[in-house]
Amino acid sequence: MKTAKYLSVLFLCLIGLQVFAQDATKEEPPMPPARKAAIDSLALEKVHDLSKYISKIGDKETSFSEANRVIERALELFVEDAQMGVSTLGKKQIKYFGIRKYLERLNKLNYKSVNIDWFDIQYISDLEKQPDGRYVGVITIYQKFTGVTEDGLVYKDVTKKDITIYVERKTTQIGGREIGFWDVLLGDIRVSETKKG
Amino acid sequence: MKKIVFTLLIFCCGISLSQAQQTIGNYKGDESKLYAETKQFTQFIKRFNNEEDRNGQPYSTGSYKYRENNYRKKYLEILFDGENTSISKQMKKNFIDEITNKKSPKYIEKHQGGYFAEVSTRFLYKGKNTDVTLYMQLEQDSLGYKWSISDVYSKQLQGLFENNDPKKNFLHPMSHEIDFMNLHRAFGDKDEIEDYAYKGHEIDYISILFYLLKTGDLKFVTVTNVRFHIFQIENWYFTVEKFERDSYNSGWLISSLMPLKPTDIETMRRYVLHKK
Repeated sequence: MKTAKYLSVLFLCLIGLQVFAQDATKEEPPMPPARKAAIDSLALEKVHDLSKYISKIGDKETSFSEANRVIERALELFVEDAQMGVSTLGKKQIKYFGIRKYLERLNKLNYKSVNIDWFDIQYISDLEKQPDGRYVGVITIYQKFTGVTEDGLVYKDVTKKDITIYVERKTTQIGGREIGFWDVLLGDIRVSETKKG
Repeated sequence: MKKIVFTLLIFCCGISLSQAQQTIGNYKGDESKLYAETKQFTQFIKRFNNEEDRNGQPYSTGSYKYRENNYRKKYLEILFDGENTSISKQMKKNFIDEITNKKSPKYIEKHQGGYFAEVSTRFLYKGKNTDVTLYMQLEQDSLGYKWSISDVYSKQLQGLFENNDPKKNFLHPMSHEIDFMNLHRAFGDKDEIEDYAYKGHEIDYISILFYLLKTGDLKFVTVTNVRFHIFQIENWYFTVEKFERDSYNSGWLISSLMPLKPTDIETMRRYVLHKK
């Protein structure tokens, strides 16, 4: 009798496990809006940091060693192997650069001064979970770039940037306690020059 | 009392606005065109379904504005490529009326299939520019979703398998008695090699693409265009493409529209994929 009872409990557990396994493949509820808003802010902060670094790297006043230091800081914002895809209005082809190469090219442009202004408008997509469990989203922003050369020539353009962001739950030890936090890193960026400024 | 309520209302509006506008800069140019642009395909779906306000801020699913029909009609009007005269006003109206029908409204659901992306790319095939179209589908995998290559089309690659000779070659049914020595002849004529495959054999272009990439004969250069084919809305088929213009009608827009019976979906799908 006892064996029969044991077997029936085991059987019910197995059914339960099967149901659980089916549930696990079902779609998860979307991220709560408050958490999403906090992550969006953090991502925008990183985008802002990147723009500051870009201004510094492009500015001729910045010394070679300082520019290199800033490039390293900028690279810390990105996931490994992130690329910059650049397209110009009227041309179909996108050119791809590794982020380091893109920043080094910017440094060599040798503008006397570089100014980057941001439009207020930005668009932040939902965060989607990818197979490895990390969340991914895209922030679209518009930027006005002004570069003044040594000869006083002013180059201006308005670019649209679609910036990939990766969001990951990480943990750290603080005072012996494990604390969880959300980390945001930038990924591939697609830049399209929309018009001359 | 009224004054207090009014002041409180203004205060609340101020809070919600400051939350919506997370400013990262101070540029004060004309931004109206940028607001009008449908900036991402994600935004196209949200506008199509009326899931966000004019500033791109999402409505909560509990809000009465979420998927609200009257706002939705206004959004749908601006989601068409205005320069495309092949979509008649009447067809547009029929489409909008049908999908905003109060009794059975139709929405695009991101994770329910029924659409795929056509990605035009350029490769170098043995050093020469070659256009290759990749068809991509969103599929669930492990903890999330990913885009996968579901089909490939290339005029150059497909051209390798175009055999217009009405004469069909075959290995005669007694070939086994001669140790299939006639294979020597079959493989000697590379133009008609596909004659020797089993009936109903279809060439797997994804495998060819991967093989050529692995051998180094094919090298990826760039993406030249992206287009979405939407079959998810019952009785309709439409495409969505990105238009980068200095105008209010820009971004991801409906580039073609046609009524389509559910029984014709497979035929249309095969047509889009360049299948016979």
